[in-house]
Amino acid sequence: MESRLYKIVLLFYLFYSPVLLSRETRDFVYYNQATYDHYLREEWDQLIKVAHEALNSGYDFYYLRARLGIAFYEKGIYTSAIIHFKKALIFNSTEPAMLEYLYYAYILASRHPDAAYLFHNHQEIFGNIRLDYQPKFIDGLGFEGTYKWSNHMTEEGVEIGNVLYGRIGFQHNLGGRLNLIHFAGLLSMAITDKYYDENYYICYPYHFYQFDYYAKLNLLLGTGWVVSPAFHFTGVDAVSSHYADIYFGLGIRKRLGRISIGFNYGYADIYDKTIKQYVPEIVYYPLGNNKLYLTGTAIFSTGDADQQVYMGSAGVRVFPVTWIEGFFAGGKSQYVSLFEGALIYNNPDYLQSRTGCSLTQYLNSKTSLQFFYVAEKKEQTVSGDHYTQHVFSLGLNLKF
Amino acid sequence: MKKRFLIIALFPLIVNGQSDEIIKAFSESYSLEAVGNFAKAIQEIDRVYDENYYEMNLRLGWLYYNLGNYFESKNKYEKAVNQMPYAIEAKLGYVLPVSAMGNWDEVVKTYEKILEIDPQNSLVNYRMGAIFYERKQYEKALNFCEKTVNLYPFDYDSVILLAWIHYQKGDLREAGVLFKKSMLIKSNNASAEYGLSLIK
Repeated sequence: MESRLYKIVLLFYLFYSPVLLSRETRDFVYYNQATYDHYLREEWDQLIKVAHEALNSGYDFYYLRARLGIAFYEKGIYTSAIIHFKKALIFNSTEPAMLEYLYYAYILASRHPDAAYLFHNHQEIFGNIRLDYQPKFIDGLGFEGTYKWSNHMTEEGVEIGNVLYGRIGFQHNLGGRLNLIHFAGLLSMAITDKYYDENYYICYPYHFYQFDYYAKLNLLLGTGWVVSPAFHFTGVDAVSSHYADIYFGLGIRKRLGRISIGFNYGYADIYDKTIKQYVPEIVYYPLGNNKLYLTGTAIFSTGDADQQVYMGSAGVRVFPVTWIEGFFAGGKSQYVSLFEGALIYNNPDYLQSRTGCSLTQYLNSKTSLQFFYVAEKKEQTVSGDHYTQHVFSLGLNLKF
Repeated sequence: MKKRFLIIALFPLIVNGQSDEIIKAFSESYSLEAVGNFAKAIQEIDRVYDENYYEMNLRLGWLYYNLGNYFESKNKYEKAVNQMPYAIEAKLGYVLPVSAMGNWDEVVKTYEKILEIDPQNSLVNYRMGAIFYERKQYEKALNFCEKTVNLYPFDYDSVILLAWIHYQKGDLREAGVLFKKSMLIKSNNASAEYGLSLIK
C-alpha cells in the first residue's frame, strides 16, 4: 500500500512538476531579469516577446524600452526601434547611448531630417560621440542626366523628338527643424513642325529649351508632422514664344509606425492653364524598414484640367546595398505635377501612363548611383497620335 | 500645524487595537531582513498590511527594492510620498527603485521636489551635482555641488566632484586648488592625482 502511494506521488511529481515549474510568477522581477538575460544572449525574438508581455502587464520602464528598442534595431525593424527608443528617452532624456541608437535608427529608416533635428537638440551630448554621419549645412549633392527617346513619327503636324535633361541638386540642413532640398536643371527637346505646302512636305526642326528651379522646405513640427512648402519655376524658350510655368505646393505628412500618410495641395500655372491638385498619399513599410515599401498616391485635379491620376510603386532591397523599385501611374492627364511638384509635365500632350523601374546601388555609405527607366505613353494634343517616350536616367548622390 | 499633521498620521496605528500585532510584524520583518530573507520580511508586513499606513508603505517600498521588485517598490514608495507630502525620507526612498529602472528624469524631478522643501539638503545637492556631471551639464552641476561644499568643505566626495566639474568647465586653476584640497582629506587618492596630472 505504501509502495503504491509512493508511486502515485512520484507519478504526480513527474507529470505535474514541469507544469508547476513553468508557472513561475511573471512579475517585475521576472520580466526585468528575463529581458536582461535575452539581451545578454542576443536572443532578440524572445526578448521582444517577453518585453511585449511585460508592457501588456503594465510594466514600463527605461531599461525595458531600451532593451526592446535595441532588439528591434538589431533585427532591422527600425520603425519599431524608433518608437521604443523615444519611449526610453521619456524616462531618461539625456542618455547618450539611447540618443545614439535613435539617431542611427532614424538614418537607417531614411529619416535624415529627424536625425538632424535630434542632433541639433542634443549637440552637447553628440559632440562627445563619434558619428559616421553628421548633419551639415550642405548635407547632400546630386547630379542627374536624362535622355528621352521618342518614337513619335508624323507626316504632318508637330513631331515630338528626343529630350536631353541635366540637373544638379543640393540638400541643406538649416539647423533644428528645417531642411531644404533644391535643384536646377536644363532641358533641350527636339521638335519638328511638318506641314504640306502644295507639292512639298516641309520639315522645320527646332529646339525647345527650358530652365527649371525647384525648392522644397521641410519643417518638422514637434508632434511628428512634417510640413513642406514647395516651389517650381520653369522658364521656357521656344522659337516663337517665351513663357514661364510656376508651381506652388504645400504638403503635410506624418510617420505612424510602419505607415506614412501625407496630403499635398498644389497650384500650378502652366502655359495658359491654371490647375489645382489635391494629392493624398500613403507609404507602407511592411518590414518596419526601407528594405520593402509600397506607395499609393492619387492626384485629383480641378481648374482648367479636370483629371485623376493614380500612382503606385513598390521598392525592395535585393542585396545589402542594392534596391530596385517598380512604379506605375495611370489616368489620362495634361499638365500634371508629380512628386510634390518636383516633376511637371508642361508639354501640352496628354500623359496616358507612366511605367518604369529604378535601380539604386550604394557604392559606400555616402555615395549612391541611381538608374531609371520610364516609359511614358502620350497622346499628341492636336493630331491624336499616340507615341511613347523612353526615359533613361542616371543619377549620382553624395552625402557629406 | 506640523504637530497636528503628525498626530493625525499616527492616530490610526494607536486606535486600531492591532498595534501589538503590527509592532510584532515590523520586528519580525527586521529580523528577516537582517538575514537577507526579503520575501519573508514582505510576507510579515503583508500579514497586517493596510495601505493607509505610511510606515507600512515605506517599509514595503524598501523591502521590495531589496528583493529586486522595483516596480512594486516604486508603487509602495509612491503611496508613502502621497501620504506624507513633506516627508523627505519617502522621496529619498522613491528614487531608489526609480533609478534602478533607469528612469533618471523621474529621479531629477523628485530631487527637485525635495529641494523645494529643503534647499540646503546636502545629500540631494550632491547627487544632483553628480547627475548633471554625468549628463555633461557642468554649469548646472556646479550650482548644486557648490552648495554642498559650502556646507561641508571637508567632505571628500563633494570636494573631488567640484574639482572635476571645474576641470571639465576648463577652470583649471580652481580645479587644481580643489584636487589638492581633496588630498588633505584623503591623502592618497587616485582621482585627485590623475586630475592634477591632466592639469600639468
